[in-house]
Amino acid sequence: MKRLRKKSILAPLICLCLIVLSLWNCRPRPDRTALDLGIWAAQHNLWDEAIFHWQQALKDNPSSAAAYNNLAVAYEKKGLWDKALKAYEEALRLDPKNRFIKANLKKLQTRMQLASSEDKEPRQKNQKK
Amino acid sequence: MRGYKLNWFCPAMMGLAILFSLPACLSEAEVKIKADFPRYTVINLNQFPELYLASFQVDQSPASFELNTELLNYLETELKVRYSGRLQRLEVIWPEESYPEDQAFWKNMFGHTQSGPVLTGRVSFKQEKRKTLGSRYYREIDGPFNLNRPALEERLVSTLTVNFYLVQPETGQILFNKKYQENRVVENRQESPAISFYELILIIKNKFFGAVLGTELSEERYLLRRSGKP
Repeated sequence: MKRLRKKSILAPLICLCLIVLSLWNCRPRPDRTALDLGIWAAQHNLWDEAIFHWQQALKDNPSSAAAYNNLAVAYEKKGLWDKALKAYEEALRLDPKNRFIKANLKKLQTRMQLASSEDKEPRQKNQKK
Repeated sequence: MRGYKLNWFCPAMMGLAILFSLPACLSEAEVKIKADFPRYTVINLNQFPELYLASFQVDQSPASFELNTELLNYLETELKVRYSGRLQRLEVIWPEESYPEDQAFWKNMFGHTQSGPVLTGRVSFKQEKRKTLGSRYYREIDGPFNLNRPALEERLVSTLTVNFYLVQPETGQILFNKKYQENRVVENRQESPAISFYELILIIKNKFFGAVLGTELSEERYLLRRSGKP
């Protein structure tokens, strides 16, 4: 009888814990809200506003790799290459295994290498002449 | 009866818990965004508040064509659209044996007055008639061998070469230098040089502006909703 009572108490308790945990996970966190707001702004081509929100997200959580990554994308969009590169590197330092940050950084590096090689080619040709 | 109620209550609660936790797990960590990103450029003209457009050194030009004037007018019009700073024309009378890379020339001209960079360079435009193998076939009837062979056709080949220099006048330092050359072949040998010039300068302008002002390319990037580390 005692065993049955224990079981009948334990199961709802586990359920309650699960609900509390999931609600805790879904709680509005300031950095996440700022990240989402920034994403919304970027999707509407409001990149300056997006930068503002992601900088806010960084203030709330200075070790947010997502905020650094998103800022880097915005800097790329604004043509601030050095800042973008630094922000990607910082994001990767905070989250070294993140494949999305790696993919973004690779795309930027490829573009930079391509532009540098295009710039060097005519100079080399001129030197040969 | 009580036990039966509890048996029904527990799976319901479990279901609710899963339902609550699902949105947290389902929301994706990344958002793929497609946007026009500016091309990476070694130098960006828009970083300078003012820019001087100086006369180009003409190496070669058809007699009936004012190459320098046409080129400057074209570049001025196009730069006014893409360049955000103040654009000014600068008439330079090039002394003999003086080149855009001549630092002393610029120092003498501007002295120590601080000003924006000067866009200048050397330009050459030539048109020549060349014989090339055409698409039409020539049938040799009276010759010893009755062969079909492609006939030689005369065509007009236009070549425009522009070597751009971006010079910092106080120091004479060359900030950017790149040479562009484009060809155009037409069957009409009487075609005006202006037609070929504007066709060719359009291609060169797109390449040059891409290098110094940055054309935009549509690319995809990932924006993140949450970090790997909290």
